[in-house]
Amino acid sequence: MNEALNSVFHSESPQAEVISGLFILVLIVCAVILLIVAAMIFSSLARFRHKPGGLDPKPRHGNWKLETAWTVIPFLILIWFLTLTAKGMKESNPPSDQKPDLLVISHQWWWEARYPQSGVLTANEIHIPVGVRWLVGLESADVIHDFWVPRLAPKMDVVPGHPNRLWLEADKPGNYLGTCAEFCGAQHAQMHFLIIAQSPPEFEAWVEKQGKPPPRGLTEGEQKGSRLFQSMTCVNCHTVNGTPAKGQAAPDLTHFASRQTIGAVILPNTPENLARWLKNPQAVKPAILMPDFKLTDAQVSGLTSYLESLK
Amino acid sequence: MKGTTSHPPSIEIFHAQKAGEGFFSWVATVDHKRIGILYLLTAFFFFGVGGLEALVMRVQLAKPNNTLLSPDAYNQLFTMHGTTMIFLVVMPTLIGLANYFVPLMIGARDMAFPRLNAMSYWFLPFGGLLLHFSLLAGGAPSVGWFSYAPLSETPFAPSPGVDYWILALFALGIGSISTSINLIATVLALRAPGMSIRRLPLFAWMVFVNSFLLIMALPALNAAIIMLFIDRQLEAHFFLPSHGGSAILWQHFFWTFGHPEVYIMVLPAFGIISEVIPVFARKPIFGYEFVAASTVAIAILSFGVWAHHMFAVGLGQPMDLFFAASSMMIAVPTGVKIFNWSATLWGGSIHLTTSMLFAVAFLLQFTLGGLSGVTFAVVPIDWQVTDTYYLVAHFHYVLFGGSFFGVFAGLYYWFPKMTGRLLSESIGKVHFWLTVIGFNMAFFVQHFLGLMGMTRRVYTYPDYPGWGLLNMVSTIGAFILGLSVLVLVWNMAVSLRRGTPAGDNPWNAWTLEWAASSPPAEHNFDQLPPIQGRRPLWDLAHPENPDEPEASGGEPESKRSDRNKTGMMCFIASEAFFFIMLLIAYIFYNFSQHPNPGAQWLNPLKTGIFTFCLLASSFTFWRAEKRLGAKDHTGFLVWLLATLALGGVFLVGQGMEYFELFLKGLRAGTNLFSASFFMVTGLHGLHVLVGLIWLLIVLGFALAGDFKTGKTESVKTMGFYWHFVDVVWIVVFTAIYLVGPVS
Repeated sequence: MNEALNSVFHSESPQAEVISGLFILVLIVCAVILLIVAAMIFSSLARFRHKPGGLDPKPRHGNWKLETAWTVIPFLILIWFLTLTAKGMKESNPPSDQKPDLLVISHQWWWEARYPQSGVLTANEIHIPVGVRWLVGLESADVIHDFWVPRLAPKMDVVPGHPNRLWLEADKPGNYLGTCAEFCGAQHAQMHFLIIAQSPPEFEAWVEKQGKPPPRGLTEGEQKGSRLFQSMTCVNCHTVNGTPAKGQAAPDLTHFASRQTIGAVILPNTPENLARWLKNPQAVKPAILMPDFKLTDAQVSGLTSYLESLK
Repeated sequence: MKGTTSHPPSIEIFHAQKAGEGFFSWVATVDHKRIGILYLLTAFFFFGVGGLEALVMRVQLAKPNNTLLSPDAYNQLFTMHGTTMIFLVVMPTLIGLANYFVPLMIGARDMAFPRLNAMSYWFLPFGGLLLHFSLLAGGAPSVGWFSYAPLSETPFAPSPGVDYWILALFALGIGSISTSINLIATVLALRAPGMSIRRLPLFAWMVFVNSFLLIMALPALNAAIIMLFIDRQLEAHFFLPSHGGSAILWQHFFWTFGHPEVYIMVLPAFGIISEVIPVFARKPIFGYEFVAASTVAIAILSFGVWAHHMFAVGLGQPMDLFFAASSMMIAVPTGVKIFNWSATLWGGSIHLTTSMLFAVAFLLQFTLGGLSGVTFAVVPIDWQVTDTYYLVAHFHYVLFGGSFFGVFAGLYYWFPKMTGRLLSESIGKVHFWLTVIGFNMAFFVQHFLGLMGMTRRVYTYPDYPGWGLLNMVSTIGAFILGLSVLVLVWNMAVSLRRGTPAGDNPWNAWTLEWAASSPPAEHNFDQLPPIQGRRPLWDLAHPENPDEPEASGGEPESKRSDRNKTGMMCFIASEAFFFIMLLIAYIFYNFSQHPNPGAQWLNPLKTGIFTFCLLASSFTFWRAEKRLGAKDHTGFLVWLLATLALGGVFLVGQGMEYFELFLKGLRAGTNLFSASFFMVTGLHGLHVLVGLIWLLIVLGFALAGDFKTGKTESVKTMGFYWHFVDVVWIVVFTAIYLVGPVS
């Protein structure tokens, strides 16, 4: 999932493209200025070194023309930068009053995604259709987080009590890694997410599937896990549609098995990793809100097979 | 030097002065030079602490998926590293140098208020201890050095680390504000004859401007941390959005302090560079007026750029654009400085001493850090790279590549003045090259990490292509930097034991500190050279070719401010900023949001009567002063007693009002109205109480017959404070009782 370089210059959307172009231009100008200053300094060092027995140079106290030049020229460059800034802001993040196409709610330390049109709800892996510009509403359930997908969009803080908006779009299908960029407590470092861009038909199919409850017809082992899930405190925090589990505090697990990763995109979603997680979540991702339930190996394997059946 | 007596260089810095010896003479000292050294030693100690914290973090980050540190341990480390380096290292180092050298550079005997100066210093170890005491009380703060709310609020940070952080910053703030007041009064009141403001050495000039920044910026921090403290201790909700508070107001308040703070940490370093470069290029500074005036421009602009720390908050594009413009404008005067320093080198006769090497490296690294700063002012770029390692690299280039390199340049330059012995140039060069290599290795690669998507404040990171390698390079650089500090310690130790005696003026420098002996006698100067320009020692050495008076500051001003009045005015200005911030908070919470029950119980008429008493006390104090002026001692006592009584009545009235509100069930934590009401009126009441205690002290002195001799400045000074407290109440009363919360 992480083979590509997640750099701000590998932009894959028009918005991110605007910024990387602007960034390269500004960096070139700044590099030229740095080179001029460095050239002045190094040529002084080369030409005007003290020679033994040499006298002190004639005092020079200043020069108004030079002062004016190096005040006015940088000023003009910065005015130019300012116009670029205004233009870049408009192009990379145009203001909008329309309703968000997608609502992202940040939690310590995972991401909830709600699709208002279809009512679909998922966590940490956010599917979007390729080539469509979506307005994302950003809200926080607790502290300040920051929604950042370097290759797709500028970052935007997710501030409690202050809903924000951000345009999100991907030119090509694929997985784009996102992460929380504002320090938000113990597990800030492992609060990642994926933007999964799909062709519109694939995306529609995904929405359709997510809208339904998980498939029935569990095997015996899965049923055991299901009963365990429903009888333990799992249901206080997690939801599985079509079952009594309606908890809101933690990621919705209705289609858990359809996700590629677990733990806010820190491990591939394999039965082994899930079992490790269930055995002691605090060992995999210390300080998260899910406690160590001290499950037996049998309980872990039952829960694992149940959760992996939630396609 | 002509015009001075030279002392034999002393062996030991600690035995340099005859005035007193031994440990307790240092504890009790009020000598600005000893206090300066105490500042520097304390800051150097914390530099070791903060540096070790950084090294532990770099070990954790040396490889991907490292599990050496728990997330909480790492988060405590970066919080303590930032807080320590800013408040316990950079600020006290610069204040320490200012303490030592500003009085010497302006030809003064000491600071304006030597005992206040000692008090300011002792707040530094006290604040440092408070901060580190958190380690014994459940763990250091782990919410970052800017403690963003609501993460720093009780629900998300229940351990008392943040509370100790608040108390420490408050204590350190008191020390910094009083030092700044002291420095301003020193520069305005104690300059030697001939030392006009336009002839001030640039270090003194920048420290002077910087002191204004401090007294105006710190009140914003104090207001913010007091509000956070009320939230945490009295269960109010100023910054808790879940209860109607605002997470964003914390950021506005914090950065109103925080951005001037960036310049607070760099302006004195600019001053050092402006001293070192001319001396080792053997030329006067190019464009003195521009270097000085650009400092003032930076200081003023620095109060209008705070929201560039908040571009990603979503304040709206008009707001972002305004702060982009102001942030770009502040680059202009900064650039002017760089160009003037470079032009000072041009055509000089450059001596590449260790001090000069650090100054040259400062120029290049600070320019790089400044230019990467400009990229942040281009808002869309900021949206991409803020809160990444690109930002970490940027501010370390400014603060380490800038401030610290400036301090090192100053250390090699002034160490001989402080100790009488030169630092070794050969060890110094080893120190320099290790520092340059270590610093750039540690931080240059961090630009790339940021661009590759690595966010700051992460205790671990996945094994993405390139990340592990670059982080390892950075960690190795950090350890080279750590090694360089050991070389510096070695150099200082060697110098103190058997360094070459420096003589009074080893660098043939031109400013007044070099006219004193090395180290200076306790009284600084036996005799000052005449001051007819910016470079008195140049003029003294070159009577045939002195600087033209016009080119070096024109005619001397004969007038000097009164130090008591200046000091009190600065204090009042600082307090005024504090109350302005509190009132902004009050207005924010009560004039724009849903009505908060409780305001209807306020009784403007009743409080109006007590208000009248307080205002009347200003009148009675004015009468008391008049009687004192007329040498009517009895009349003075009577009016003074009346002032005390009226002030007391006001406080009793406020107590009754609080009691009634309390009976009705209103507490600080009830709602945003009650929290802001009790905060503003309570802090004002506290000021009245301080005034009353002060009045009692004046009364005590008066009864002992102290003011009969005609020395009445202290009464006058007290009067400024008392009238100020009344003026504040007029504003508070109008805002709270007359205009009132809109409901």
